[in-house]
Amino acid sequence: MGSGKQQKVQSSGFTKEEELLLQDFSRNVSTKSSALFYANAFIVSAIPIWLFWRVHNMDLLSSGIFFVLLTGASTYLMAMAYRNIKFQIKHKIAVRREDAVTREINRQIGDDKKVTRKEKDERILWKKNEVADYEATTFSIFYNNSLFLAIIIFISFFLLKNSSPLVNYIFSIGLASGALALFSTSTQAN
Amino acid sequence: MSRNLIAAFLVCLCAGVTFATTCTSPKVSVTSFSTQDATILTQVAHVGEFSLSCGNNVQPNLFAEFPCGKIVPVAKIGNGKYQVSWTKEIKKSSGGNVVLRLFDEEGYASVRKAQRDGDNVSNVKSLVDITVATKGAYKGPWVKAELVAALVVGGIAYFAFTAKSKVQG
Repeated sequence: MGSGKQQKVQSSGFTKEEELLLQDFSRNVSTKSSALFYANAFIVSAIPIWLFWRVHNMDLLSSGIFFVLLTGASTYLMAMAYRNIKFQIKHKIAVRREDAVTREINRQIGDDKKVTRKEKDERILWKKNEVADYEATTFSIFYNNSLFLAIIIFISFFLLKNSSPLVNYIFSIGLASGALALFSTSTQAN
Repeated sequence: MSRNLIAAFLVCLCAGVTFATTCTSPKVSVTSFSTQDATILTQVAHVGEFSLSCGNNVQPNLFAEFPCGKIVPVAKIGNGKYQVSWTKEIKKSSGGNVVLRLFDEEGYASVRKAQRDGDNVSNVKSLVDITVATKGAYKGPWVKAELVAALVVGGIAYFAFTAKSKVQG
């Protein structure tokens, strides 16, 4: 996570441990994570252009404006879905990985007397946060990409197979990215 | 007396002409062609080409009878060469040998007579029977690519969905 943000939080009265704990539940994503999300969202949103160009025989130039607009909208919606799904699962992953991370940190530190208990806890928290962040980011991308492509193939080849390619493209991309963005905002009642 | 002579002469002449146009000891060699790719077609075509050589060197006009009973004229495409073709719906089409009964004009007249009289046409003797070997056409892959893609990506999406439920559970 960004160091500038950490200092800002610390200056508002949080200890480093509290700040690490807060990161566990934070909806904010780092710039690196955000760039990863937008790059992935752009790639997965642009892939269907090939499908509609080569398989559904859409003309690249005459339909270019629709390709650009819908790829842009889909990139935004997919990035939003990535962020929301990451937020949903990050804490759950952190809880699941806690024991393993604690064991690993304990093994690394060993009997080092210089490291205080507080410092060790902070390291465990930081490592746990890092592991959970990485796993949640990659899983969120995998989850949303696979659902996005599944919905697109289902809509474009089965639901709207008799529609014109342009209508097919608009609805399949719009519905797939829109549905994923919408479902990613759902909260579990537990 | 002279009338009888003329009549006898005409009868002999007609018999001679008939004898001359009837193919004797016919020999046939057949080649065939069938539509190979039927992915974007509704019907497939079969073509049978054969060369007929008669002992008396005549080249009669021929008619072909299909196994279904339909009779069509055979096209003459060259010196002693003939061609017969037909189309079939893709669903009903399959490869195999098709036996065609060939008739000359005299035989065809006998067939028409048998049809008019309600007799069995198969009793009329054909000039020669030929066997045209037809082949089945390629009708596209058994499983369509989009179905395979949908199943694969559906399986991956199911795995992703259950994995997420497991993490959140």
